[in-house]
Amino acid sequence: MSKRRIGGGMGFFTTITEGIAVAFDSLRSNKVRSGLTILGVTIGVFVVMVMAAMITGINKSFSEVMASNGITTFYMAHFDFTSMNISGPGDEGEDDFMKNEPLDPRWTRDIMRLPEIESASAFADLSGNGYEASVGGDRLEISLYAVGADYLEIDAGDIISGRWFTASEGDRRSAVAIVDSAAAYDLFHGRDPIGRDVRIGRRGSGESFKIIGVYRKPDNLFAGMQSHWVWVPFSTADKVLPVWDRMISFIIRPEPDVPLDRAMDAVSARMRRIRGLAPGEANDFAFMTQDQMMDLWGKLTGVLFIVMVGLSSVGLLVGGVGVIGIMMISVTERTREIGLRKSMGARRRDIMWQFLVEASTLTLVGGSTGLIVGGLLVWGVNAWTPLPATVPAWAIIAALGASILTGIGFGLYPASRAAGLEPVDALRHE
Amino acid sequence: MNADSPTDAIIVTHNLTKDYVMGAETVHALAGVDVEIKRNEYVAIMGPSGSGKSTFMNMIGCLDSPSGGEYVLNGQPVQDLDDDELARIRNREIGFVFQTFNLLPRATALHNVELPLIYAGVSSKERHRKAAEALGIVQLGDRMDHKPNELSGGQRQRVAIARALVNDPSILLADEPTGNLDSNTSDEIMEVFENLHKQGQTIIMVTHEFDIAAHAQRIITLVDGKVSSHDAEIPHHILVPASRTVEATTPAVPLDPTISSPILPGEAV
Repeated sequence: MSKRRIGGGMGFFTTITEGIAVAFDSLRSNKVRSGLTILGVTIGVFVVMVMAAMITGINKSFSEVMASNGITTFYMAHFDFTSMNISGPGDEGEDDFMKNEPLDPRWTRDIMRLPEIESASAFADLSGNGYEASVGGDRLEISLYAVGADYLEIDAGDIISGRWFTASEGDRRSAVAIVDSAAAYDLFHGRDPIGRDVRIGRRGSGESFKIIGVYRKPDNLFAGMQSHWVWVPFSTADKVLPVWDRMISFIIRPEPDVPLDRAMDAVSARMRRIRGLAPGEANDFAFMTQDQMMDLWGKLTGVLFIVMVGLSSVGLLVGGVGVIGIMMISVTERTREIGLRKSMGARRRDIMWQFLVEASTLTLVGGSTGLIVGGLLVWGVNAWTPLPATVPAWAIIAALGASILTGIGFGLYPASRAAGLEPVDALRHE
Repeated sequence: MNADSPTDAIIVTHNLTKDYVMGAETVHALAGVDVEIKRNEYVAIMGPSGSGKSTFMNMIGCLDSPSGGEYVLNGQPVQDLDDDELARIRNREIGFVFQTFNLLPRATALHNVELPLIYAGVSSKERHRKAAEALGIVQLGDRMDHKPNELSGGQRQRVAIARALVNDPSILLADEPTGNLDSNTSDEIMEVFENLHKQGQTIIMVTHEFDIAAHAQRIITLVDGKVSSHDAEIPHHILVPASRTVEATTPAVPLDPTISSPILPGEAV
């Protein structure tokens, strides 16, 4: 009897279940206090959830666009649009935009003659330039795209009815237009738009185009952002509409099996000759590859990610400070209970764990609430807006993990205070 | 209780001291206590307030550590043990009964009794069985699911006794167990103690009431942090009738131990 087995001790599972039971007890008895404490954690997790869902959803669309365009297809402009997209006006990209000579659509023929290049076509995104389509008295603001005949292959959407324009129609500068179904409906109110005329121009002016097809863009993020699309042949638009030449870019597709680097080198050499650049002079044009677009997007989401981590950290910090407060109160209120538990054989670590489990249960409840509210919002965004949003599994795990860690981290001090109490002093506490 | 220790002593203290420093002054709460308590004994510890009986009680229960001296519990020197080993001793060797019951207010009687078993690492099923059995011993088998506020004072103290017994401790340590109870209920608790003692339980009880102490086999009296008597005789006329109303009829004997000391004649240490 003198040497009984040392050890045994409290089972880990029992520690957890006891702690959780005590935590829910304390949640129930102090609803407002506990609710306010965990609100910060709720907000933190909510922010992580929603932002992670948005980024993931947009990323998914982005990769779909990339895949549909073909991996080696690249773009060329008279300025570096990666630097312009990332930085504001006044930066180098912005200066080049005005300073450098714009691209001439005729140069696509020179580029196409290169053995490395399969196709090259000029296009201009004229959405946001105030173009309207009108039929009779109805006027409709549109997103106008001046594109080549091969745009269809690159964009990889569906012809719903009618057809796309042919290369020869492009060469002949035919006044034909393709619309999306939203534009078709709003212009013709359910009547078949094929073969009908529409005037395209700015402020009531404009030229007459014949509608030859209804096109549906592939289902991705960019399709969702705008509607009332109208596509016209680039050559036609260049002739009859004012196309600001600085809006012109080239889309270039290398021959199959030609590496991207080699194709870009060839185009670069040809462009330098066309532009008459002396050796050593910097390029006054720039390429953007799919990889660069991905990188650009990566940078953007990187910034978003930092903002997200920052916001949720603040939430978790606020929640954490609340946890210290509520746990200190809990320790003080239950000093006698701690003394009793110690007199019944609880070790320091048993008391420590009890309070840590209690703290992390609190924050976990807060986190779960944020998860549910965030999940509902994401569901709503998906259901009622064209923005894609997907909750990735890592975000759920990270959010719940962060809540638990907040509880443990900020519960550590109160818990060690409780664990360090002398049993005799704790029992005497009034 | 099997006896593989060399003597029959379950508690031996030698020159046990406890000092408290209060400002510039050092208070000797225990000034060298030598006590030996045998297995199966039923001992009451008495003394005026400030005599050190509570401090001594805390030492025996390993709730507090001595400043000096030795304490051998069940053949094991306790003064050198670390925190975890002390926790194990409180868990396995000692069953506490407190004056204020110290039950968890929101837990059922059954859960309260399970508490020491939780810290002993007993499985949930086994805990339920043992706790229910212990509540049966104190005749509360039908109150297992009641919370403390649904129980009378006597019932609460019996839950506390069941909790103290559930881990089969070497010693039942009771600190003023009837201090918050009326005299009828006190008698009821004393009866429980007596039954436990008859079944071989070692009981040590701190009290300042003669008629409660009289239930014990032996009374150890502490005065000024020292043992003034190892086996005080209780004046017989106080015990008959065994009731606190005696005070009025026998004013010559100081009943309140806090008033004068030494309170009882006995052999000097």
